Amino acid sequence: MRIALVSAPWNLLDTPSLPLGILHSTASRCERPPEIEHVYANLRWAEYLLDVSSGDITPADYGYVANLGVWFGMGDWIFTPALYGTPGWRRAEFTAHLERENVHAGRSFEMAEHSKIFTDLMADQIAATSPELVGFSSTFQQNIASLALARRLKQILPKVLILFGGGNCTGSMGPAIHRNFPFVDYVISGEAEDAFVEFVDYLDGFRLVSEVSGLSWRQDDGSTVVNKPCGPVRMESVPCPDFSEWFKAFNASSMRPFVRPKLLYEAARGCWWGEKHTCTFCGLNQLTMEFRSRPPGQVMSHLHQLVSEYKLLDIVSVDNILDLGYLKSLLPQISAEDWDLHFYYEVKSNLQERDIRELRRAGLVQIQPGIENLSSKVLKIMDKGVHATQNVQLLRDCEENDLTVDWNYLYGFPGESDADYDEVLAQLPALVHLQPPSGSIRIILERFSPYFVRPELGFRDRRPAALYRHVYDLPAYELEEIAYQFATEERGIGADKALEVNTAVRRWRANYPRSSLTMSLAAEDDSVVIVDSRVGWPQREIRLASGTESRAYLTLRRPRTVEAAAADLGISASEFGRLVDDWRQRGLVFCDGGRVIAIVTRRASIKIEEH
Amino acid sequence: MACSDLAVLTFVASLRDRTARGEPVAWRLDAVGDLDPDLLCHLVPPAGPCTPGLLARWHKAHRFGLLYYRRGPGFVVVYDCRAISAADEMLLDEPEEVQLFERLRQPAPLGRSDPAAQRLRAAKLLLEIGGMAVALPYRESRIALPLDLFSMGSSIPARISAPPATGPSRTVDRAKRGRSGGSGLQQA
Repeated sequence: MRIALVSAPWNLLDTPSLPLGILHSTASRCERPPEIEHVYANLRWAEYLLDVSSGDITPADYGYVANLGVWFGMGDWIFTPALYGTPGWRRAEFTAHLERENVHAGRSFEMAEHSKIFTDLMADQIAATSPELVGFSSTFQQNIASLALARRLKQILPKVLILFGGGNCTGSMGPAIHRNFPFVDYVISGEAEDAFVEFVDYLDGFRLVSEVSGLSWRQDDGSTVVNKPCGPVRMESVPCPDFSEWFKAFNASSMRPFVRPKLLYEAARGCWWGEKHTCTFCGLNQLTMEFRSRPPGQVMSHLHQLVSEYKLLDIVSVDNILDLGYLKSLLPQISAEDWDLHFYYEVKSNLQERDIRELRRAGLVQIQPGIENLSSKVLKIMDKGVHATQNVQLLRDCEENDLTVDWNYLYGFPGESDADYDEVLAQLPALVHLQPPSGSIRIILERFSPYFVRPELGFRDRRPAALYRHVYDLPAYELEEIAYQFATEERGIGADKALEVNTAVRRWRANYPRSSLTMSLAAEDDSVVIVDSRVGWPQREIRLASGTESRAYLTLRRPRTVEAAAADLGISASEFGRLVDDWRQRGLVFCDGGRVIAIVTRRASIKIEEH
Repeated sequence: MACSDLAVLTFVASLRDRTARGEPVAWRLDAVGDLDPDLLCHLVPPAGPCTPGLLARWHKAHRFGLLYYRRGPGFVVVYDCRAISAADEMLLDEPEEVQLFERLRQPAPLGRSDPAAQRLRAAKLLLEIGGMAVALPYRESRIALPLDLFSMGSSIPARISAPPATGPSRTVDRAKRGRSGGSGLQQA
């Protein structure tokens, strides 16, 4: 069987497609292994835009839509003329939506003028290879471009079979695509490593259609039947992705000079924290929260293979959370290789100082720890499982160890109050030397999240986000099934307090590059000597008294209550409390929820904008 | 080769490694000779006294992360943002080249006709004096913050501007193509 697997716009230009890489490797397990051709329509689209605009619509313009557009239906809208056959389809609604959201359209309007011609050309090229099956892996903004291409292919090759899968097909979303777009013959919902093999075996006559896990298919009367989905796939059984076809396409592409490629890797699925306490706003793990990770030896074998073959040292992990067991197993093995990797990884924020050093040694130099907020009360509302002082400790330890921390300040949780934010806002100026959030943003309601599944938690009134109205020509009840983002009433703090948070974060971001707060121990008496070079604070040296005061400050390298720290030092809580009050006034500690953490770093970081 | 030439190369190797570690280095350049600040501007610049033009050029050009390398299995990637660089990135994966590059971490003799040296020389990655040479790029040690692995183009740190207010976590989630749906965030 000849199969074309398509990665449609708006997959990022600088990374291979992980689904295509995995499915390519998996296909060898079929009873009759198929011939697989990879179609990187995303690369071709970026090339086409650059070419047709004589270099005016650049890969950066593509990147703008690919990254930002997902929240506003930008990339999907651009392909609506190709799907619906109408130039300028719902352009007024799209424009009004962006205006309401105060978001620039980038080059969306020019791009939309080219999407139909591009889709026709791309379909012709795919059709020329006479595939029997064309599979689309669709996540985020890939739905409309994929549907447009599928529709056109079906016009050219009426007998070709169209298969959809990917994150956009999980749960009810997959059957909804199948019901509403008759040119889509099959949809696989859920993890597809095994289901794809079963599906190919079905087409080759080795199975019944009812035996393909998670498959949506049509009965003779045209109605959709949805098979039971497969359970969580064991990670050991997921092969190392084969990225060779992507690198061939990428190296031959006119995008090559503009883009620095990275590897993608997946060591684990699910979330070990979410198995017990799903963060209330998070829909990332969808229906399969069960945490599974590869054995460390398999990861090492794959890393050797990928890094050696493609000679790339930048690796983006797509794991939703680092397996804590890797701190003692995998990471030391990676460190022992003496490679200079740059790994991106998502972690839980309650890591200890020694853990951060372990991450750094293994090359995990950019992390997304899910800090989310610096109020313990708000963190408790979102069931985050960390204390705010642990979040600040992480920021301090990452600053010392050269780890970049990606985080956003989230608000809008049912039950939070202005007071939760006032307490933190008063202390933000002291944290200016630590890495600021990228921005402050109100949470939205995601399908699969606890807030979605349990409306009683606070979001009872919900509807598909407004962006879907300029993306799909479907009735409301179908949008309910196909949407991932939902609009709700605003909860938690109001617009005024949100603006205060936003202003404080902007100030933090502006002053961070020129701020440092470092300490050392005086050689003569081990007293703590602090050099304060933070913007907004007196530029000075602060020397804590040797003995009790210095020891007390060092005790707060990890979060402590005043009472516990005082007991350790053998002094009274009131005496310790007076010290803490003084340090707080001088911006040397962060206090929240009854705990205190020292915020002075032991080493100044090197900050890019200093230069 | 004169003893002073070896001393110069040894000092440059030390300055290179201390620059990599982000250490402050107070040093003076008493005689300019043939030293080219465009070649050495990735190293901590000298304090005076020195010819004002050279000193000013060095200080103006210098920033952390201008010329360094990262090591992988059997290969080395050199990142070069000096004004004289021919390319932002250079992959060394020929065994002879990699071996020579590693050998020249410390000053060592280098013949003019050594074929493995041709690319290193052409890329201005060596300082050569009197038949001896030392490799100029430092191995990555400190990393300037913030790093942006998701920067589509060159991710050499010094060229990265601050992430947009909309946030890298969105970019990050966009890279999670396999199964996931989004980060649940909305711009304020």
